[in-house]
Amino acid sequence: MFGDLTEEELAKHLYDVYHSSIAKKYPYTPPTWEDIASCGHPSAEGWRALARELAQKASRL
Amino acid sequence: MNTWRCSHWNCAVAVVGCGSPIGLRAIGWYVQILDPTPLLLCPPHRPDPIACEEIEAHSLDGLDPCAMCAADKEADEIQSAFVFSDLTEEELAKRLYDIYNAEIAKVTNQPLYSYTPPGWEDQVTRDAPTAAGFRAIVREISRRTSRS
Repeated sequence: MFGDLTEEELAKHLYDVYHSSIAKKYPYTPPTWEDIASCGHPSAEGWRALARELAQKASRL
Repeated sequence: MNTWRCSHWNCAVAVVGCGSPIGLRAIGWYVQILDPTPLLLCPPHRPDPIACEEIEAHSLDGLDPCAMCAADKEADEIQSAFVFSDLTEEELAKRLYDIYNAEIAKVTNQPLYSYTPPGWEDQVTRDAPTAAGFRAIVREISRRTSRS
């Protein structure tokens, strides 16, 4: 499913998918993944948790 | 797909499977086909519980893996694989939203009751951008899954 991405890349991908969907409806500029990942923002951990969960499921399906 | 629940009055264990519940015996459940409702008891609630030590004591060298535990582990893995494939798109969006928030609560060292993000239902009712964002992720997963 996401086998071509590392966990960190997948977290960034999910973050980008999420924000680009919102940006279609509401004009705003979210911080970049690099910004939130480098400052240890809690939401980065949330996205990493999702990436781990998806990678784990993908390996079992 | 069927969801089978343990018949014990104080047990919330449920498993997902195809066809008759008789197959639950393979993963250590106690199954009696009664009409109209089968009696189903998960391994800890069997009326004839088998302890791992007892099984191991009967093996020739005492080192055989416990068949019940092995079956239980395999059942857990199968169940977790079902978890996503069996959900609707909306249910999956909610589940991802919950995983995301639970992790944030963990890293901010706040119990879930003090870190209180809006529930998924609130996000949906308000047509919040967050709900749209998580639905977009679900569509992305579906797109990727159908390609792989």
